[in-house]
Amino acid sequence: MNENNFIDIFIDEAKELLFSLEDHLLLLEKNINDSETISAIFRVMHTIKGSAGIVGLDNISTFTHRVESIFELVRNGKVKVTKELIDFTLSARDIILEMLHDNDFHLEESEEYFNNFEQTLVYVAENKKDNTFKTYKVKFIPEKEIFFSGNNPTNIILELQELGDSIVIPCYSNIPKLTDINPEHCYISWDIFINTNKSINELYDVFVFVDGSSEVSIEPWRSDNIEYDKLGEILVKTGHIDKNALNDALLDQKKLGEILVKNNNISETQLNKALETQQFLKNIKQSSSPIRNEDSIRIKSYKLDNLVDLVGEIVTSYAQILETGKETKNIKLINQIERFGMLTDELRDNSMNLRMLPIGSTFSKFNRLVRDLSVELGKEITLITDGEETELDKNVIEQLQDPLVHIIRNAIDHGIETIDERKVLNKSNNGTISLIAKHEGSNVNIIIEDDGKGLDKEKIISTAQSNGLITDNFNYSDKEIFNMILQPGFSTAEKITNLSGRGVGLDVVKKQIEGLKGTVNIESEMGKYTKITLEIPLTLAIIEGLSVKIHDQSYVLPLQNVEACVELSESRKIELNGKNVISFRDQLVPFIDIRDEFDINTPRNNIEQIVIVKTSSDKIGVLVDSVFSSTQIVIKPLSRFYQGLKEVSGATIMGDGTIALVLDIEQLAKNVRSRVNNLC
Amino acid sequence: MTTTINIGTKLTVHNIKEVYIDIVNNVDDSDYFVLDISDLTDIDITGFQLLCCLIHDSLESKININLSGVLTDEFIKSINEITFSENNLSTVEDLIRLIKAFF
Repeated sequence: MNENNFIDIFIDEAKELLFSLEDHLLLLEKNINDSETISAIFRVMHTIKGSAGIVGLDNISTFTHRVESIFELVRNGKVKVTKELIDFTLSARDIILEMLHDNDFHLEESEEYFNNFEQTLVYVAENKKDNTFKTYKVKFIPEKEIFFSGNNPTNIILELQELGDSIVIPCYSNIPKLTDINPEHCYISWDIFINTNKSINELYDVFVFVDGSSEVSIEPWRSDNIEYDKLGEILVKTGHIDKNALNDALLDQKKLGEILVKNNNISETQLNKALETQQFLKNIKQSSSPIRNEDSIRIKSYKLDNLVDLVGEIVTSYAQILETGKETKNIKLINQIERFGMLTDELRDNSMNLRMLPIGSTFSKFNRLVRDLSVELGKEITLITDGEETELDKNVIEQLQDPLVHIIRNAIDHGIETIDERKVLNKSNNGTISLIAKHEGSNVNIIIEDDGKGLDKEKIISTAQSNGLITDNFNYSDKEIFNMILQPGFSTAEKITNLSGRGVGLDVVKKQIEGLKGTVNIESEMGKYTKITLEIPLTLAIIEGLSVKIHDQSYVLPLQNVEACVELSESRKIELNGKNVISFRDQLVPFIDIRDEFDINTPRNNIEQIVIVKTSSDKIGVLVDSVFSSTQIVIKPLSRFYQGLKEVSGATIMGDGTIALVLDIEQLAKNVRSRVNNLC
Repeated sequence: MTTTINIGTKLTVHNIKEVYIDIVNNVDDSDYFVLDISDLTDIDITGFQLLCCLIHDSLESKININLSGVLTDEFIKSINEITFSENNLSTVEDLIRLIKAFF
């Protein structure tokens, strides 16, 4: 591996760390006394600093070191967590992110910024009372003649206990026999675990009158330090049992405490005391243990893409082998192929799962967006997220980022009212934007809802008319009206802000979501809410498709859009009199003739099929020769030579080895609509 | 010969040496030695160490000694303070069981 590889790995890891840093900072802003979050922030800084230094990115290392130093002061309780500190650290985090791409980014300017900020911190530090709790292990072995100096170890320990929550473990094992003891000497020592917001020096101050020959050591107790975690070890350490008793008890394979009580090695009281000690340390460990990542390995995403491509090839090959096998009529061979098919299915599912990522990583990025923009606009907005664990194909998640930014910006800028406006409307000052992901069949629905002013239907219609998007006064449904705001160039915003209102945005959102084979649905009630639902397929690479044929050419329609298949007989064709509209479940549904669409001039069948499919706004029919079967297909992109073929979203290889085109339902629907409009 | 010593009200660093010498001398001279702690109200680490030491040696049959008497509330409180634990002591047998558990 060369140096650049290491830098690439560092950059990947640093980006992840910086995103988690942003989350931690926003959490800290909500709970400024959360010592665990402060520690987590410190750890992120520390890791980035160290790793950057290792790969030779010294500017990043130096810069991060300065931020880390500030957070060390915070961690040690010397600096108070303030909004200014959070703002500063978020900005510093952004600078580090930029520096990942350009190691020299803004280094000189940031120097001055740092100096100014650090001066502010000194002021804060002077007025700061400590509020960070840490756990220390205090070991106290008094000198034997401690009583001659007027000291009483019990009083010293009691004084120490006043500084925090503590547990004291006396050790009696050094008390000698009657003949050997000097009764005026001290033979007992103590281990004290104390959870306190005092500094280590304040703890040492308790022992200030203890003679130097006594042993006092105080060190931060780390949660991964488990030397006293086991009950037996605690009892051996305190002298209640020796190691032999411990080993005998362990061999009995019963509850250690019960055995020791039964063997009269300890009393129940002593057992309870030891269990109490164990629980105390466990509690500290639990409350301070860092969030552990699940075991994982880092793989370049293109390798996963390659794997999924190869699995797609295997799925295709399997379909071909099955076809060939069936032709041989060799039952044994067919059984073996079917077994191979089951394994292929498993392989496909597992490899697709590798690309599935929880959407939470994308959601968490919006906390910052909402925080910064609401401050900029003088609004109070809370972002509520749910369903972060919902998994989507990583390619889908990447492409969802921009549409979600558009929608959330719109909600902040146009949806949520200002504080004054909300007061007038008897709404709470604090507006809410919910960002929710949930499974819905083979889709994931992403719902963005705000409790703001809602959409003004009359204003939308009037704007659509003045923009030439509609020319009539047709009685539009709510859905149709709301869909108008997804048209290019549409904006009802009277004031153009730097956030939104330029008429660019929601049409782009629609296009991007349709690019993901998804749909956009809008619901709203004036003065109450706006709810935008993005229906996104779980994955783009392999879908369930309905294969249809025109002459000897196969086409595939996404099965999730298919509602029904209707026969179109000769007699019915006569009834339609050349009009491409049929009655389906008491509804007139326009249909598109694929033969016409693709200029196919082969003879028609006597009986044709209309596949009724639902689109984002309505239903259309697709006229084909015959409906073949439903099948899982691996979608392959078309080469750039076919980019102009809008009605086709990709291609796939069928079981018989032929190539089938995957039809783009939304584009076909657009074609139908434009023809209907032309007729009108 | 059985010898019983009443330890008095105090077993602290201030009188521990005298009590110790008294005990050692009587242990040497007696077949069976009983330490009466009925009046004991004030005990510190040195006193507790001495009690521990006596119980430990008796456990190992080095001496033939026993504790007797009723535990005063003050004594129980002091023991709890010295051991930094609520020991639920009410009888001298409880105290012996507690100390035995240390060894």
